[in-house]
Amino acid sequence: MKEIAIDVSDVKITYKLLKNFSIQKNLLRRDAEDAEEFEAVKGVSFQVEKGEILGIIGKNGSGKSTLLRAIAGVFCPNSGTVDLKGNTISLLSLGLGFKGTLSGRKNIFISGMLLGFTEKQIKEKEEEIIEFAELGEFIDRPVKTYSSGMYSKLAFSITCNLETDIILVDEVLSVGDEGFQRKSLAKMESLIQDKDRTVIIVSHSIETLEKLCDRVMWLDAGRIMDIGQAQKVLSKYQEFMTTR
Amino acid sequence: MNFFRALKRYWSFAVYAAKADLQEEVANSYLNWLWWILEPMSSMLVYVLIFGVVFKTDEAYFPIFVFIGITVWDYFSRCVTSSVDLIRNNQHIISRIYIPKYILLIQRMLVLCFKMLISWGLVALLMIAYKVPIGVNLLYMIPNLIVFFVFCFACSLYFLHFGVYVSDLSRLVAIVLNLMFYLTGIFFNIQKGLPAPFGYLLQRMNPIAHLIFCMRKSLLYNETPSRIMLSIWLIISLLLAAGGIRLINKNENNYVKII
Repeated sequence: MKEIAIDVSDVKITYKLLKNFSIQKNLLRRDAEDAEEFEAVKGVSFQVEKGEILGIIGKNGSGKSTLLRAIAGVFCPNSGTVDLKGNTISLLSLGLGFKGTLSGRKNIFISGMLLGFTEKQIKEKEEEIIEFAELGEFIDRPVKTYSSGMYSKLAFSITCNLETDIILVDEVLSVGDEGFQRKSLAKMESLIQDKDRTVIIVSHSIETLEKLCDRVMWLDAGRIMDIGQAQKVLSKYQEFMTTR
Repeated sequence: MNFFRALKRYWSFAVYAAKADLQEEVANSYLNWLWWILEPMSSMLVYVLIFGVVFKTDEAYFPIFVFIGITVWDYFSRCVTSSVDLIRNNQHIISRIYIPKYILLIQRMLVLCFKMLISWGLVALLMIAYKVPIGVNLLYMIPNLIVFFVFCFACSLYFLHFGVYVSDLSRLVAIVLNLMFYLTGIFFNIQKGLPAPFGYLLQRMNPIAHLIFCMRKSLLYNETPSRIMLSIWLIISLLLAAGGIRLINKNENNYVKII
């Protein structure tokens, strides 16, 4: 049997639709309403093997991103467990911790350190990141002077060149101009096809998931509708969406 | 995550981010780092003018007396005020990645520490200019400052936590800090200024007032601060900090759902 990298067991995540407690509101109004609860993920269990690429598909509000963030440890599930078996993990997100008035080079370090890398590890990757981002001398200028394309190129380059054992991707596959889009997709593919790397991709694009994933999980209203071989699940999903 | 393990892991981030914050501040203003000196200097001048010239105080080395008070108070009040909105202001980070939330507080405290260091440099200059005799009691500044930092950290942990849940906490904090400012004796000697026994009690029960009192003793009068009182406040602060860390560890993963 293959080694398991992610073990998600009966995870439930509830959002309390509680408007912030405000001293002023609560002193003036006695009938403070009770918090409304909203269950975004309703008891989900699955395992991902080491080196596997799992896609998650589902319509808006089906709990995909919430589940992804719980796996990344941004917040705890209300019940159930997420076990990463000691692997390092990162949720690919563009421009994490960026400060506009500082240079691109400094932002590489801030972003990288937030992702859990040491200064030394980032230094080793620094040139690679700068080269991949194609920014030239702009790397030493403040990020706020960048065009939006340059900004996302740098952000993408940071997240893709600082690699963790598990990578979670939430719809960030194409940025920049057409040339860079092709390059970033190729980088993405080589990144996730590394046989030691475990990847979960959330996407709306059937085409992308079909191309990249071994297995796909279909979520609907916080429950797993199906999980299994990519093509099979995706065609079921497609059928469901067209007949709806 | 265990506090010390988290501190070890994220320390270099906190230092790097604090430096970046300072650089950002400099880049954003016209007089840039000059403000770090001008700000405390000008508030000292205001107090010296009003209380030293208009109301005529007989306190020895009055400008330095006031400046020590302002240096300590500014640190405390800025630390508490910024911790209330700390989570909200870092939403772009905490909604995308896990980071122990008190690391953000430590980052903020490091930024303030740097500014405080400049103020202490000014205090040293003033002491030379006024020819204040110094002695071995100067060394008590080390325990004084340690107790002070632990106390600030401990208090701010609670404000950080409740600031997430109570949206108008910052207004309440502003009022309480305003009151506390006058009960701390920044520009007057509370022991002499308030009727007995309130002045005496306040100087010991109000930790910031007591620490300012200790610092003035070690710097200006070459007297030994009460070791018992310092130890008591250290123990209280450590216990408060331990409680605050526990509170945050237990709740921090819900913050992002609320904001």
